[in-house]
Amino acid sequence: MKTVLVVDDETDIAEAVKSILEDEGYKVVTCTNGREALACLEETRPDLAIIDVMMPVMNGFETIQAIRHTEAFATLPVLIMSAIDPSVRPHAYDWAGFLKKPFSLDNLLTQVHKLAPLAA
Amino acid sequence: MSSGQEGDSGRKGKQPRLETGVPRLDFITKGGLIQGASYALLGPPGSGKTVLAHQIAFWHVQHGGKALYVTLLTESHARMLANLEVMAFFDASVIPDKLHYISGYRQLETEGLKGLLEMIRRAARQHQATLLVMDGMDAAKEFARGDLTYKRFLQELQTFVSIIGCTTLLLSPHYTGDMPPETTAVDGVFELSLWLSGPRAVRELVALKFRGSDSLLGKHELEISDQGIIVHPRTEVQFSAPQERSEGPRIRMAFGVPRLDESLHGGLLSGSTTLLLGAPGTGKTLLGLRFLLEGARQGQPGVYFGFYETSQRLMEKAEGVGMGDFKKYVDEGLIEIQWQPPLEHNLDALAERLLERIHERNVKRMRLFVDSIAGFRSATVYPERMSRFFSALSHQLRMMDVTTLYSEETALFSPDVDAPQPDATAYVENVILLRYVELRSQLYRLLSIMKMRESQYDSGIREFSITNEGITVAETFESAEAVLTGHAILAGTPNKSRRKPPMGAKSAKKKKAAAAAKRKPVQRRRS
Repeated sequence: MKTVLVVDDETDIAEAVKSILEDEGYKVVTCTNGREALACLEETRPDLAIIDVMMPVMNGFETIQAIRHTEAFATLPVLIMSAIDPSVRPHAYDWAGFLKKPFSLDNLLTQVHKLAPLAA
Repeated sequence: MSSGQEGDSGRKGKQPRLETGVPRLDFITKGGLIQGASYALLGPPGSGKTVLAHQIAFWHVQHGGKALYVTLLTESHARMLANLEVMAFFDASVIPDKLHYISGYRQLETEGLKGLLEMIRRAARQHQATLLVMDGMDAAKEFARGDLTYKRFLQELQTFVSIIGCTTLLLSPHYTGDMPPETTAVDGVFELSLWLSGPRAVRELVALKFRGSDSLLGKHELEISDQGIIVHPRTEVQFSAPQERSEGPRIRMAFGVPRLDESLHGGLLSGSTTLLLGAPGTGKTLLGLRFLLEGARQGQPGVYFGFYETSQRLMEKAEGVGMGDFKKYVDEGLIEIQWQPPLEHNLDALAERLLERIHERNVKRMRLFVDSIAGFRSATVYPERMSRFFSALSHQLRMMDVTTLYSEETALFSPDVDAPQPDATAYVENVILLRYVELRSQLYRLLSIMKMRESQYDSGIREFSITNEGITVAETFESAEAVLTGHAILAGTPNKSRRKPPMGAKSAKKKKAAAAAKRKPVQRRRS
């Protein structure tokens, strides 16, 4: 079973994504900020992280940067989730995809299936 | 940046809409509900929430969507469906494949709001619902420990339905005055109400909030019949910015009454609105019919929109005053009689009926006679609306190049000209006043043009008569200078004291005598 880590301080969004992806057959773990996410990386060992940009404590970009500096997760696919297109930022954090909020079910599933395909 | 992906482009720009199929509701929301948004339908029991939600649901599934109807401590599904079976929109064939019913109360009772939310999430995805109806939200509210918990539940529900693109209707009982928590949490709020205006039951839909689009907020009357719900948007907000339909240069629309047309410098200007003001019996209806007849004789179509006289009676009336060909034009369809039966009417429904008919006919140089304004007035439950209503209606008719006559009654016995709606003269271009003047036990009919915007006119007061030969307007009535104040009295000069009888009275008397002479004596039967 593939594991997805969903990081968003808006818990209604995290819970909605969790419910949808669980129905698809993923194991989903939710966190409300970057620091929490980093703390549970080792335990959950996700196949994909869906990370919001604007969060308290540690924002999405900082979280991605920290993940990239963790050797075991340097290549973890990250799907950025934000109301603002991250391409406007000068830094590159090597994210694999972008979900513009509010997003549709089709867009969510397309991106998740692409980045963390379930076994046939 | 390595591989930034494009966002959900479908969300940009104009938001996709969900048509409701409820006549004119989509007009109020300027295109329908916003897909994936959530709406509260509030109202007291019996106000039509369940009917409205079902009407939308049936329309939705009949047009390719899938709906999930979740009940929470409401009437049983069987009972609900039995009540709805009589409605024209009901279609048993779509249940349960396209319109699926589930009860969420057990889940709510055992697992609370979280369990209910999870059940809805799963059911909505399982049935691929594009419309979710939750009926009986008051039960969910009861289970919440407070407004905050309930709002939280609503927020989580909304986030979910927004992602799956499922439009949601949340039905709650509600009494005017309190402000339920869902009004702040949802994207739109429609409040239904049912109240009594005298003996009349009035149903209304109030659009309180509609996020994401322009809309016609405010109160709109609605009707529930076996056809379902019909919303009647307020005329004055519907036509606040009517589109002009130019028909080329304006022309004169004559009455076919020589001296009246001369006074009007050839007739009323096309596309104008005119008030025929006068006491009962002064001849407003006949003058209006004469206007339609003259139009028909020139090939111009006309509509009589009246409240009091049936088609048959109108034609008899016309025939009795020298308008024998009126019936011919009615039969040919050039003149159309739209009689409104003496029932309880809805003000805006009347305007819709009138405008839709004119729109359907789609003809040029249309003449319209509305007989009378009082018919509309009696249909309103908000008298203060009348000025704005008529102003909007008149403006719309003007933009459709319709030349309109409105009849309006003044008091029968009053020396003053007291129009029931004094400001009515402001929204019409022309005012023609018909009056009685009593002089030495004789009644005289007087006609005067009080106002004619955008045109020259003869302001002289003229006597006119209605005989079986038609309507005749005389030269300026010299002794009636005080007619507008109702104080027409003899000035005391010898020639004025020998006032002639009213116009037409002599010929009428002569004809009566001739007819009597022709008549055979009645044979009395001997007992």
